[in-house]
Amino acid sequence: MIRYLLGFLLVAVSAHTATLWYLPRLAMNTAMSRLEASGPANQWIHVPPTDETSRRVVRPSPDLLYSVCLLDLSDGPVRIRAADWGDYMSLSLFAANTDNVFARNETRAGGDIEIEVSAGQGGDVGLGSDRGIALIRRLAPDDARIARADTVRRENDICEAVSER
Amino acid sequence: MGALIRWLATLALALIAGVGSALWLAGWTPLDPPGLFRSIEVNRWTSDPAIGSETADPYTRAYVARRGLLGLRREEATYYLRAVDDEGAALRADCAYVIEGAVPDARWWSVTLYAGDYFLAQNGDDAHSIDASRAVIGADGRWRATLQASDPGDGSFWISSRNAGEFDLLYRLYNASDAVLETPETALVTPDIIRLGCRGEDAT
Repeated sequence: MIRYLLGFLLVAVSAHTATLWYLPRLAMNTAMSRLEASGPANQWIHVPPTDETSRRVVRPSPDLLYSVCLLDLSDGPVRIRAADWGDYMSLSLFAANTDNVFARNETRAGGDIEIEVSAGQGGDVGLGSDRGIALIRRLAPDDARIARADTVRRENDICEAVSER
Repeated sequence: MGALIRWLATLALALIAGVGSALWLAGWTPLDPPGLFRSIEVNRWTSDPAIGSETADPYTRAYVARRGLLGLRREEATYYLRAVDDEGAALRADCAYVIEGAVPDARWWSVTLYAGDYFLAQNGDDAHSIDASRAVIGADGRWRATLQASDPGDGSFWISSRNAGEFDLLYRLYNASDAVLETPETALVTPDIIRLGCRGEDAT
């Protein structure tokens, strides 16, 4: 009886731990697969204004305009620029386990936010994984600001492999 | 043969228990897990300072992955969640509420309504949130909005709960002050949610 109990505990704890490790990666992989269907890696996808049809990632804000770049660092670092547009903006990076390894807004950056991201320790930010997500949030709760932010992001945001420069 | 069957049954039960308990405790089932996203509670609004952080424990990280993926770390934004009104009853689309509060000490704030699937309610009303740039601050220093399934038509700010079923509200604070981050229990002002009445009962 003791053998069965010990076997039960060993397998249950192992399965529990493995599941907890896997769930964040599953969520990120699902999000990244959805992004992959919208465009290639290392290139901004300028997401349309958020409404109830925005169902790629849970709890989107209808007051923020999002741009997202699927990061693939397996062939080297990626250069990112989030262009200042005169209102709130942040650039954030998420590793494959969901950790928000970097977040900076335009005030702290003093204007454009420009960084070089690598998988390991090189560059300005080490993501800690080969793949991840870069996300720009711009505060745009009305049509006028949406139009202005959209113009700036399409003209000046950059997400590209450094080797392409 | 009998021992083999007993071992297989034991291992199958262990797998079910291990995976099932992880899914539940990490918030990946419809049932709310105990304790998670509740390390800070202010006026029934709950949060967790470890969101997005490398120091988040495995349960918090898995919870955020399911219910708040791509959330920012606290230095940039903090998130407070609430699913009940001021009397502790679940927020429902067939009830009407007034939500009101003072202006928090943050660069920007918003309150957004999410349906039970964690997405914006599918109603076409384009009235999912109120934020610092649109809220009208009254003479008493407070902003107000009507939260119900139909436009109140009285000039008040409307947040639509149509087609939301049982829903929750997410209070976002961007670049909150150090006081709000360090001592939210005393420094953070949170919105009140006053139930006006529900379909099938007299308004109170």
